[in-house]
Amino acid sequence: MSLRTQVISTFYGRLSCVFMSLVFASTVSARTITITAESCDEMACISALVPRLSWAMGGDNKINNAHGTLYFNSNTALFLRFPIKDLIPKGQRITKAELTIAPNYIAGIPEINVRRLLAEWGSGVCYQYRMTYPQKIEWSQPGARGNSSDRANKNSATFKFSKVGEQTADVTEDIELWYTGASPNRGWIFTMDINNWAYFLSPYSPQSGGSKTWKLQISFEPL
Amino acid sequence: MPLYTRHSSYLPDKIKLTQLRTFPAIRFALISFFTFICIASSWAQPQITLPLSKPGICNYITPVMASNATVAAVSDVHGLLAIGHGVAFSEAHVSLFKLDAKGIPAPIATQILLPKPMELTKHKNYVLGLAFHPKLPLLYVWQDINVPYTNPVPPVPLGTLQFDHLCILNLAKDPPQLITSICRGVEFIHNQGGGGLAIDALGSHLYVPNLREITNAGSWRFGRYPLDAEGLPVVVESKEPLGIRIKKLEDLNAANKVSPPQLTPTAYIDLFRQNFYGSAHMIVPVGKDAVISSGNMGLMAWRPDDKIMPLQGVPMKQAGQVLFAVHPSHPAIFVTSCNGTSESFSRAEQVEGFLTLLPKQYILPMGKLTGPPIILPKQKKIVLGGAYHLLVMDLDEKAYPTGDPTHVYVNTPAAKALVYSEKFDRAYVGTEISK
Repeated sequence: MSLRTQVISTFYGRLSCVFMSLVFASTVSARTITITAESCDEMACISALVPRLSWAMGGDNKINNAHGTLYFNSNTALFLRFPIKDLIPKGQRITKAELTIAPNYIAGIPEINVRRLLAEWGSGVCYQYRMTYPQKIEWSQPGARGNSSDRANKNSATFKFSKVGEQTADVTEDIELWYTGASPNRGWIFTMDINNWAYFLSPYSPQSGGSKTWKLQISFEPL
Repeated sequence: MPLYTRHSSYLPDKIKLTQLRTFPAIRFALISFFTFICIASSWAQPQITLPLSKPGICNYITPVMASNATVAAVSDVHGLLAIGHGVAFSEAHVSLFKLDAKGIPAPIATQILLPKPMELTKHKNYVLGLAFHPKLPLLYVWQDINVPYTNPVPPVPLGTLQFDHLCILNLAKDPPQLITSICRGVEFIHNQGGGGLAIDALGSHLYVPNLREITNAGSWRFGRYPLDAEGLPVVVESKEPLGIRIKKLEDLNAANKVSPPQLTPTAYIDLFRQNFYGSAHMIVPVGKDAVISSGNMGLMAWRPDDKIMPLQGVPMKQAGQVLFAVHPSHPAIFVTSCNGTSESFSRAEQVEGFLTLLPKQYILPMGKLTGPPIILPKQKKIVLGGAYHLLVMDLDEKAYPTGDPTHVYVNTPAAKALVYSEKFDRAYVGTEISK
């Protein structure tokens, strides 16, 4: 065996041992994972101003683009769903979960509320409909604002921004509900009840890093 | 002794250390597997990695010999298959194949040369887009000329601004005859590697690519012409006989006044960023008065009569020439980047011309995609063009890819001319002529 091959073999050998150790260790100890909006399995952004669009991140001049910046105000609602059950191994107990978002521009003191979505939503979701395929089904209130029908009747988290930058809120209860299956995971709805402006890097940004600024950190341990 | 021998008990008994040394592939696969487990358990991504494709045979794919084939269109109404050629094939710009009762193409094609100004004899014209009229025996061809285009536009040779991009051919004649050619002047960009052309199912509008603002060479868009009862683009209303209408259209064209009456808004940063494949790499009409299109940033939906928000963009991970296929009965859109190195495709969604939900990316190891996807709805399959192969995947009842991919050899370095006939439930792919 050549020197180069030996070096490579040694390197891969060490690497495999480290990974295998991690695999076994992960099953017996507490862990914390940090995921970003890149891990979302569903997402949408709706707006009262464009009632049929699923991607209403904001725009002007008759163009709306999901890329770049999310211009958030009281017309906007953002839906994010993280596949919690796929991300956390079975047989765990959620000890803590924190959601972090970070506007890069604000006007006024925007307050963004986060609630669990209760109604099923899907293809064609928009301000007017929670889905338009295979059939058109309306929200109980336009924009998914129906309490206890479209969305939970209380906030899971509230972000109040007096300055730009990261802010974190505790969402342990929601993650636990979704992980245990006590409540179906239909994701969160982010809304602003009093009109102000907050600009965010778009959580859907396949060609840039915006999705990494929407973070969810979950700690769990074996039951 | 390598360090990992001390930990060899982690490995299955039957895989001895000597085997691992001898077979680096096994060793690498094993390490990759454990790495994957670790990563997947903590950093799940909205991506699905598919296994390596296996060789297969597909009797619903018909290779059609057509050199340097870049684009294809089929007409079930007229029983014709048209294949457009790139600059490397000088004998014809379009090859037109008659299809028999079973959808088998005739062995010999009618070869069509398209016009260009005499001053451009040193430059080559080539085909980017093809569209059959859904009822009338007409073939619309979008051609381009390899005169360099940049922003600002460099001095162009004489004749460039007299080059007509749109040719309309009468298929009722044998051989087909050119009815007219239009779309010239500074408003139309040239030297592009892509440009979709499409007609809606009713034959009411013709969608054309590769337009720009006259005052800004980098501000691109696309547009549409209404078509009259004879399939002629309507620039000004006229009820005169066809011959007079054609003459008037040509006069307007000579005066650079045939701009499409409806144009997309311009968005040179986010949607129509300058690239090598034009402003609309592909255009597919959906629903009533709506099209899905693609640019180098991803997908676009244009609803020309939508007064609130006519243009919508959803970016994709793929870059380069973005081509796609829209499922006829499900919301699914399959999207590929056809740069020859792309190893993934995506499944996006649209309903009634509104782009919706989060696109999912499917990684195809060693995929090397070069051409558009096509959907075979009756077979529940998707076919993707690659380098010397086509990749085939099954679709489940909701039109999600399922099962393992298979690959089928085709004799072309880049399978780009791919089209599906609903009538014959058959896919056609342009291939090189065997030597």
